Amino acid sequence: MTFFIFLSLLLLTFILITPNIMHGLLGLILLFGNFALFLFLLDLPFLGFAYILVYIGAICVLFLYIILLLNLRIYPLIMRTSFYFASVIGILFITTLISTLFFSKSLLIPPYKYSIIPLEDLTLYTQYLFEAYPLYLLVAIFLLLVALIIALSTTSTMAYIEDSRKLSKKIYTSN
Amino acid sequence: MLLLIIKFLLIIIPILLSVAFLTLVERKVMAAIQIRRGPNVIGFGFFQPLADGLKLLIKELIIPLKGNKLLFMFAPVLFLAVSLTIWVVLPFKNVSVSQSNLAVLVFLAISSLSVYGLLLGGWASNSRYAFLGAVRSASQMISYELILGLLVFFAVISGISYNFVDLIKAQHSTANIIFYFPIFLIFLVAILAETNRTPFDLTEAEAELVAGYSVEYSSAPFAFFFIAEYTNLIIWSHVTSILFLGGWNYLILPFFLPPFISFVLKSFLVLIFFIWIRATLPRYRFDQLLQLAWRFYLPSVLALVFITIILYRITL
Repeated sequence: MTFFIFLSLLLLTFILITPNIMHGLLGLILLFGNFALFLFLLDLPFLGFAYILVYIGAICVLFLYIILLLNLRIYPLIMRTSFYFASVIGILFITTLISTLFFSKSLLIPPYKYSIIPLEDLTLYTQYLFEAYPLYLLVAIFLLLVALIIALSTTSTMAYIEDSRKLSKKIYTSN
Repeated sequence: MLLLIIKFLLIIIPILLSVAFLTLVERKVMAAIQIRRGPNVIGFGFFQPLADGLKLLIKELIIPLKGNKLLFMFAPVLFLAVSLTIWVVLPFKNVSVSQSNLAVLVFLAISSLSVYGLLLGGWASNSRYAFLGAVRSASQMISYELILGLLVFFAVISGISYNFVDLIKAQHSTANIIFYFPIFLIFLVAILAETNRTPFDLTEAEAELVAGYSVEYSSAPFAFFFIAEYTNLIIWSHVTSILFLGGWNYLILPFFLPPFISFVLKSFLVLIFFIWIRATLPRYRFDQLLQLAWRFYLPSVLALVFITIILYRITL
């Protein structure tokens, strides 16, 4: 279980760092697959398969579709953010990455141990999330909201796409 | 371990053989509809698929110079692997490779991955025609997958199980086709669109796209794509006979047949229906196809699902 958490964080860093957007998408698919395996390990097979069906089968296909249609090959975000900001976030990230290796075993209670009554997968998992880790859940929700707003504000200007096209043209014509 | 390998081979070899002879059946039936004789030279036409397969394997393999070589070779393998993996959960008379209680969900989850093969294959071959075909097929498959997933749940609701064997056992007195006849018709249309068969074969529209996502493929990779497409067709006809025609129960067919034969015969009848449609109907336009999915089928099927759930809640 610790291995899967470690792997998912590793894949996350890979997705953030990699300049090639196709590799990033591959990492994302692996991340989703990894999380599905994690759900199998937690004895929640229904949620695991539903996760594969929805995230790998539908959402990632749409991402791939958009990437192929826009012909975005280079991801310019990493060149725009300042180095200090990135390094601070990176250090924070690496410390959490290492800390999961040592502390996650004591943090995690398997959900089937959590409830005495046999429950359905979805009920069990939501109850587990809401009652065992309410604070983490709130943080995750807030982060998701921030990500939504950032995505909206960055993609509302077409400059990103134009830049990436120019960059990929430069790189592919120089070869 | 050896037993497992034998189990897999017991499924894979008959599938490959049935794909080979399905092509022969298709050509013969289409010839009969168009009043021709069809393939009749090699062993009176019986060994035609073997000759075709041999011809494909002997051909030269051409890899596009500017394409992505790794993805180009990986895509057909992925497509074939996914379509063969689905057979793991499909039952044959109480026997399947893995008896899972979530078989329907596993089936839907694995079959949703087959889009990657087409999309990556079309993109990696670095050709406009192939890419347009891949994009078309991906959007078509995603939209109809949604509808198929919802339609499968009608059988799941009435069988109250995610296990295919339970779903067949639930139909021991009446097949689902009798209750759900309009839904069954939508199911057939959605299968035709999902497997890119003829009224909806816009991915391979010869007049517009030459041959769709498989333009650049030749030799064995092309054979992989071809086999995978026909395997998907057989899978969906098999699933139709499980979900709507009552599987190995004697419902539509006469009593003297053994159960397994009646099961296979039902899926074969569905296959013949698909071939019949291929020989008769002209091609749709692409925007018409997607409008059919998103504006007509999806809202109506969603409403029907809710109505069925409410009815079952009231009556049970």
